[in-house]
Amino acid sequence: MDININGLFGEMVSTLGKALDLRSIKHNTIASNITNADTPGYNSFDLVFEDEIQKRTGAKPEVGMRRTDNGHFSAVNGAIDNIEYKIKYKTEKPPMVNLRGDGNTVDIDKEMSKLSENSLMYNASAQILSRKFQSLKSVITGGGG
Amino acid sequence: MNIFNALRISSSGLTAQRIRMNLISSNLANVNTTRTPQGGPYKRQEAVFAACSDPDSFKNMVDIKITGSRSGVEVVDIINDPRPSQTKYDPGHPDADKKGYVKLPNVNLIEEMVNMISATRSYEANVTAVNATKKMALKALEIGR
Repeated sequence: MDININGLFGEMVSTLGKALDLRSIKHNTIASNITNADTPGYNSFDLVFEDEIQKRTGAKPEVGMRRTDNGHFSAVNGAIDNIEYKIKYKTEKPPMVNLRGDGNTVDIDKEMSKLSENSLMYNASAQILSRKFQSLKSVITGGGG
Repeated sequence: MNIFNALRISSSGLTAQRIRMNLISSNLANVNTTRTPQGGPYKRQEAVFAACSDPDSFKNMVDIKITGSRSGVEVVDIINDPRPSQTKYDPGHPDADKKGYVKLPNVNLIEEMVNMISATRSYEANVTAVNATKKMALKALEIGR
């Protein structure tokens, strides 16, 4: 018997879970940049993963697991699970014109807009995930609950 | 957990800005002080910020190695401004020297006001980050509901 667990919790749940993970790490980097907006010599840094996640979603896993028995779960989620190895922190380029003499490269306006964008996307992912579970529950209870 | 780490980072920023604000208030309050326990007029004080993170936590040490950046901020030192005191001709002042000159603190009112605005704005930026963190955490709690 082939248990198709992916029909229930397939790519969507694992992708959204990973997205939430990465967003919360990114939130940390942004909070750190905002906190150090007045620290002399601080280099602002960023976590860039949007491109990588877009490349990976829906793509076939590069190294798949082989099923030797029909009872094994299939491993199509490998693509999204190892995404973090491809994501790097990068120090942001200092602005062309830096009027600050203390060597700090934090652009506070950019950080604030990144903060609101990131938390908005986090909330959106959490909401979609929540809806997914709600619709699963609806299926389980036969549409009655 | 990541979300609480973000809260810690932002609160270290709040603490640092509050200390800076206290020093600015102290400078403003002592703009005419000519007597101090150390002798001579009041010296303008300033906080020195440095990026930091919990040295105790292994994860934080790894983070520092990976990102090359430190997360929170702390006040590592409070320095006395080395600029010379202002002198004012005021023979009637009890602390005037024989030629009638009084040594006043090296506090520049306009400079303090500008610093005060800067500290307020940085504090607000950190408050915004704390609120965003809180909203994200609450949203994550709603997933299974």
